[in-house]
Amino acid sequence: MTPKYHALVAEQYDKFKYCFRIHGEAKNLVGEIFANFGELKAKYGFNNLFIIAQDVSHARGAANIIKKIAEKKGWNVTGLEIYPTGATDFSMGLLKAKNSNTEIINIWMDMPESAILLKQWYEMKIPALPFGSTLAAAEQPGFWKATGGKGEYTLCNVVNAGNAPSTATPWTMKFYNAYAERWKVEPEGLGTSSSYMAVYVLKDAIERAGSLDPDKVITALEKTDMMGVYGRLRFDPKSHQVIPSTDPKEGAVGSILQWQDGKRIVVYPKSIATGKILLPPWMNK
Amino acid sequence: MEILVYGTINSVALALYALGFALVYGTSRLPNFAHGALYVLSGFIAWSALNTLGLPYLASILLTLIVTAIIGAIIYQFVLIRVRGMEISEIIATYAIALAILEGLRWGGFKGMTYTLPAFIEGSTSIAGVSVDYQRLLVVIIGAAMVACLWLFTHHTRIGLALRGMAQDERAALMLGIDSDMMALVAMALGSSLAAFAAVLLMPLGNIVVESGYNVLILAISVCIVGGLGSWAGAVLAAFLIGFAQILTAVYLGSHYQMVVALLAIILTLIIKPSGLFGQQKELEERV
Repeated sequence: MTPKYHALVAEQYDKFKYCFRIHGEAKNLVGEIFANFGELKAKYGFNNLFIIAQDVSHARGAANIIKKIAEKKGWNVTGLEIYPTGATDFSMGLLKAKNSNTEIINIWMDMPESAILLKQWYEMKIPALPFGSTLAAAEQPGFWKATGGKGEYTLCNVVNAGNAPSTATPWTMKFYNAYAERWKVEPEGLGTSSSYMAVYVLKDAIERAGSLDPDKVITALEKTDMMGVYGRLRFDPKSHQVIPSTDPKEGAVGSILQWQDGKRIVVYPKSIATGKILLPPWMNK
Repeated sequence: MEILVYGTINSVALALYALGFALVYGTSRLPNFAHGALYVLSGFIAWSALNTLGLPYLASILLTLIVTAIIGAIIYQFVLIRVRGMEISEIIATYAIALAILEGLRWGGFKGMTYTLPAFIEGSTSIAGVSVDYQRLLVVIIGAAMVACLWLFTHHTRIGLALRGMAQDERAALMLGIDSDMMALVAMALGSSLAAFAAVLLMPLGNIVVESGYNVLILAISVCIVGGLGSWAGAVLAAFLIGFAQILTAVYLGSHYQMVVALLAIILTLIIKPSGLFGQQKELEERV
């Protein structure tokens, strides 16, 4: 998801022109997160942000970037706690967040133990909203069962629509339901809908190119313009990154969801939202 | 106050991880490197009893304790008895069993975050302004009760006294008619059951994940080395030392360094006092 990836395509086109990314990227994902932080700040007066990250390169790097951006945007970053992969006790980090009057806990973890973090958050009634940038456990449909319902109110970004139920396009729920019926599990994680669309986009490009010649297919891919599961799919002709948007008619839309009463409710972007962000009852705002 | 409350909880959890390992090593000098794997396996046994067999929670726990004890006895009777006394072989054999159990579980599809045990009692309370959930309180209460029961068992029952006799001097115990192999089998079964006991008590706080088998083993070894291999009292004291050191580290240095505490404790103990706080292997001191 790193922006460096598609920047390389633009910088060294001849070498990397074969690479196209149909999936959302980190810069856009962070932008979506801060759009939500901004709304929470405006609505509830939130100003204190605590960051919890996993001790892996991508999460440490992202946590530091989020810290810098948050401070630049006027947030009071109350702490940055790094946990080793496989950690199973998060109580001290959560207490630090609580004691520093934190209102949002931003989480960047792709380990399954992140479900434990959210269970502990619920059991300790930490008065701060858990908001995952990358939060592997909460992205999965099995999260509710894994936490025994204690993951309620957790937010996370599943990068593209279709990985959680919404009506972004007429194709979204068609894909969602067909996937659930075929695999006996709802679309999960953050790459399901984009992996699915990649096949259709490639098929479309090959048909338009009328050939399997790589250069002709690349030219056709660069001219891709089709409606898919998560909106209008077009690629930046230089970087080959799918063009993002908050409107599915204009580009690929993301999805931020919140677990509410056992369901994954899309709360962002507004154009496809099926609900609003709720605060846990112990956050007296 | 937070440090006191969560330090105590963490310490009792460490003691629970280590008691089974300390018991087996203390009585039969068997370094059971499969201890962490038995901890994870018993979590999955409890989960299966609860969700697949549909047994009530209490029955699932009892079944788990019994089945894990039987597995421990089988491991001794069919594997460890052949290599007993050959320390390197004991370590290799038990570690191989651990790998077989943990990676076998992973291969069998027991992975991800969906395996979890319910808390005994839902909800939380406040202790001097510190929010603690009931399950953590139960960990402390039941953990302390378990240590007391273990003390009573080893001081006031025939089997317990035989185990202590073995721990003090196996040859002398043999001369007094104590069946060394039978007692080692009992120790292994009891130690495995203690791993299962720790699992059913602590796993409701998190999820049942294969990876925790390795962590539990490291923590148990760390506690036993610091406390002195073979000393149960030492293990309990070391659990509190490491438990509080971990919490203080998390508060003042960062949670990232928490695991380093246990590893550092092993290194420092081996350098300064290799037999540990209450260890009985004085020859280690003499070598230093």
